[in-house]
Amino acid sequence: MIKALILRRYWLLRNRFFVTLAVVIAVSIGLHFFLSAILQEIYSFSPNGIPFQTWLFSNTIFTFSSIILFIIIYRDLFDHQANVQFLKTLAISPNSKFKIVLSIVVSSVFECVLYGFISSLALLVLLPQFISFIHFLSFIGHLIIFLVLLANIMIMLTILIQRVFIFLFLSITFLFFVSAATSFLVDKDISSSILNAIIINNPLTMLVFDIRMLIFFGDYQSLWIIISIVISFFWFAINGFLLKRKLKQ
Amino acid sequence: MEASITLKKVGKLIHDKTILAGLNFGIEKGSLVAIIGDNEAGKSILLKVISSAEYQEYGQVFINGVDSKTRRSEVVSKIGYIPHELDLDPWLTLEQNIRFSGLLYSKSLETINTRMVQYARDLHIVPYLNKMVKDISPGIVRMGMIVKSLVHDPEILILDDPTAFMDAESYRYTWDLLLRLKGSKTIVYVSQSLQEVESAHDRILVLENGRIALDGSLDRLLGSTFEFHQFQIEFDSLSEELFEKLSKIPHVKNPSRVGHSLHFYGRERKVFFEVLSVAASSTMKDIRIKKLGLQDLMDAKYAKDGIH
Repeated sequence: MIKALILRRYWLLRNRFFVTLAVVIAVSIGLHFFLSAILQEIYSFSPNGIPFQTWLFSNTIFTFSSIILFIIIYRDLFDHQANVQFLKTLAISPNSKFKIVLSIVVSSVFECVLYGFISSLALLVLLPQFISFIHFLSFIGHLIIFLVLLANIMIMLTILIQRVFIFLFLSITFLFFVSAATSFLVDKDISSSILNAIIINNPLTMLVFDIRMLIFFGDYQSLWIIISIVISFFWFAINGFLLKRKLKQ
Repeated sequence: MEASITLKKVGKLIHDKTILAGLNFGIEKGSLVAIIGDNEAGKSILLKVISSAEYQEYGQVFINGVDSKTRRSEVVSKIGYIPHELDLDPWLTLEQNIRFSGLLYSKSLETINTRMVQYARDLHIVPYLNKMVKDISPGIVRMGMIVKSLVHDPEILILDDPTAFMDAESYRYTWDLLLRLKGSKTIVYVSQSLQEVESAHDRILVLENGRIALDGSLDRLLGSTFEFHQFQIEFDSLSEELFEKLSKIPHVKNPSRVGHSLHFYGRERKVFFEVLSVAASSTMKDIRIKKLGLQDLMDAKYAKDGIH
């Protein structure tokens, strides 16, 4: 089943390959340099002596991939005009709900990581050399775990919410939270103490801070990664159960 | 004959409203069964329940003797289901949609391609296979959905209005294929076209408020109308006196008048000659005799009350 969904995403990408590729590269580069140019003027200090543009690299890719993940999941599971039948097609196939959720997550994350990978390469060509090959692989690994968690949250929203207004409102608000949690716009060191507590103690942020620690200081917390993976597995099971209820199967 | 589908006291509720109520029936292997009924009669929900797209709240559905709730994967792999709505991804080509569906049933791409081309040839849609669904007319998409439902070689086909949106030619190709498949596959379909149902069925189920109101072949169902015929005689002038006189002829049933036309039912054609004989002195402009069909059966008055 996972193969079927990955092939489907591949066909969707292939059918509009050049437009997608151009948009992915242009938007990721544009977003990064536009924001870093503005934020450089606002932040009077450079975090740990690392150039702000470089510091922003992982945050840009994580946030950019999150936005793409939101679009993919919205399209497949919520867009009534295009694909509301997608879930029904999966539902009448001989596959368990857990497998359906797992396949949706894997195929969407696969595509997001591909976009994340392409935009990372594009950014790395333009930024001064700061990341080793091993660190880059770890970065992609962290991105995958981060997106798996996020995909589960998005899928949960699509299952629980019926109205498009509420779904878009909550999802977009959540994306703002993700951008804050990844310190995309405001670094945790200059957030308020309450926001800081929320940001630090959630699995999404743990992963972003962990990869930044690894890339820039050569240190990482394996516990944060384990916690995130365990939470993801629980979430798969919860979403499988919720999907079963929603589909009345 | 062996039962392919068996429903035992199946009930379905939606928001506390009863949609299907205590349905009990079996469908023989290889037969072609048509389900008809008014809007909101529960036809589409019944198909969803049979195909395990939705579970029933009460009772059991057995597919080849296997309970659809307890062994769902086994059951759904034997079923090809076409919903009422167009369910293909508009941004994929027709063949990509069909391949995707086949892969969900763990079929190899080679098997999927062979079956896809075979059925696409039967339906004359090969030129459309590599076109984006959004660029194809709904009738062709509908035929693509039929290929999609067949690509995993199901034993049972559940079709919700299979020929919706189709032109006459597509309709013919579709039924040529379905009638060829009948026998090797059990086919259950819902249609709004009574003409379609009259020409393609082994058995008809008439659903009314979630219950089976009538069940049998067309001949058997029409037998319940006691071989009645509908007669219509248009007079140059139909007086009240003549209408009364004709209405009192013993075998004339449910007489009514529309302008200068007399409408009535009779079991045998003999009654028609009796009416002609009584009305011989009046000028008649037109005469019509029609054996009752499915349309008349579905007409609420006769389906519910019969002819008195």
